[in-house]
Amino acid sequence: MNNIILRIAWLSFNEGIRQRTIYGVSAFGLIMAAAAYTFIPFIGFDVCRVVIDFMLMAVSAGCLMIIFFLCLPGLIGDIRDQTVYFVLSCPVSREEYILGRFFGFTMILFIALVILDVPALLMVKLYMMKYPGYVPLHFEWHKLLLASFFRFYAALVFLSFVFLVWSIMESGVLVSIAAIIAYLIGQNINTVKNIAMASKTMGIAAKKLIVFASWIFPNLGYFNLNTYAVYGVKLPEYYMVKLLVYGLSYMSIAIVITMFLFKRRDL
Amino acid sequence: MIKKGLVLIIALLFYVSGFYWLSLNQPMETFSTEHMNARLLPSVSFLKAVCGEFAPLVSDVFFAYGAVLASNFNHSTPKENWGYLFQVLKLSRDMDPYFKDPYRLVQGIYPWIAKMPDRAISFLKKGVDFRTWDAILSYYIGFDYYFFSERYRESARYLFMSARIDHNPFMGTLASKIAYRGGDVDTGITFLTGVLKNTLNEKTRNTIMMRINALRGVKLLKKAVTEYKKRYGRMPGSLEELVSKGIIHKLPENPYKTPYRLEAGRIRFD
Repeated sequence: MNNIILRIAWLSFNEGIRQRTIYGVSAFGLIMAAAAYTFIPFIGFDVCRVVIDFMLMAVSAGCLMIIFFLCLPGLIGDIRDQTVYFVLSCPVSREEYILGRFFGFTMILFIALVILDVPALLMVKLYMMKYPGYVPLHFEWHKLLLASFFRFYAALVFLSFVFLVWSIMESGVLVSIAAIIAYLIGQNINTVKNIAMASKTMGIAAKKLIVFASWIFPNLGYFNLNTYAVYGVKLPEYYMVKLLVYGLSYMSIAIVITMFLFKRRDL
Repeated sequence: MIKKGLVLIIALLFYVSGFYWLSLNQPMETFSTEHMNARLLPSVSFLKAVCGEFAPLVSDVFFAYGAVLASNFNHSTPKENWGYLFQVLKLSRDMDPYFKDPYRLVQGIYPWIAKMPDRAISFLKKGVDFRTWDAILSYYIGFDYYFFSERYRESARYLFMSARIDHNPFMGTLASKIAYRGGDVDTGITFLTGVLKNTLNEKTRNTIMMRINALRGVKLLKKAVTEYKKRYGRMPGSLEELVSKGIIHKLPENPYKTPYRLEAGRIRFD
């Protein structure tokens, strides 16, 4: 990889560290673990399933918070505060800036994943030791780790879409709103598509619109492997490989378009 | 400096006394079971659209709410409130159909306290589609059909399902008994023959074999009774008449050592 991209990535990563992201994420992980320890026994009998879901949710929420409170303000701030000029001064190209930023944020998200996984795994282990009779029948640790990894992977796919939106819109508020809407759509687009396709009353135009949207928005619901992690529900053949390919191609396309649009943007 | 300190101390005193006073006057939270309107609850599709990957957590919250409500319900709770609770638990189930607790809670209260076994059965059926490895849900349904509705064929169907999931020959034998009671002998024979193939324990094999042979005898006699009715336009007075009229050569031997008998139009063997 290009040395400049790595330097920008490192710069973005350091920016996250300077903003005490690691402390924030660690504190969030600990609070979630404490909440899991305190409240889950009151929720139901199936405590091990609840704790697994809860801790996976913490991983997702942690990654989302980093995107919304660190990555997005960082990108918007670069343009608003004109700090982008410091980075873009010769010989750094705009493509290198985009790639560097993306890889830098990826590093932060990965660190967050590792930090959040530690209390998550400890809490699951603790509950399994405390309530051995409630360990889900087909539970396996590697499945839990894979589910957690794919939540991080989904966050990366979503981040690439945030980059794309940011390259189109000028206003920071609009970018934030668009990102939130895109997240909600991304989580449900596949379900909506299935419902629409099965519907006999919905018009063809509406169906086509939904199908079109499913190609544009990241299908984040695909990356939710909760039932696989908790109950060992069998996934379709090569599902994870397909997920990896889908995610990687989506990110590549989004980042390439972002680079293309950003190159033409009037800064 | 002293002034600032004084203001701070006075503010602190107000804060502490105000907080204490508020906590004293806080009315005790009680669950009013009146005016529970199920239509006020959000729809599943709306919740799914908003919650996305956090759906299991929302399922937990609705379950916890349902459990608290259920602890306040009793035999005299109005029907509408049971309907409300049912919707709450349905939300919990639909947000995560794999979650076992809502099924357990519904089975624990609806047939017994609410006296609504049909609701419990309809609720549990969704779980059977999702928790395909879990024998207990089909067992619950089979039990409800048998105990509360006296629908033996349906009961046997779900108990067979439960036995198949669990590889439980005893459950299979029980299901075949109920199937027989519901007049469905063929299903019992077919199922038990399948169970026999996968059973290695000699004692269990003998038990199953006995049941299969008894059911085969019933099947043979049922066929003969049908033939008798066709010929003479009435039911035989006893099974011996089947032999005396030449429809069968002799009565089959009942492995349970009691003779087969005809009671109220049904062939009994145990």
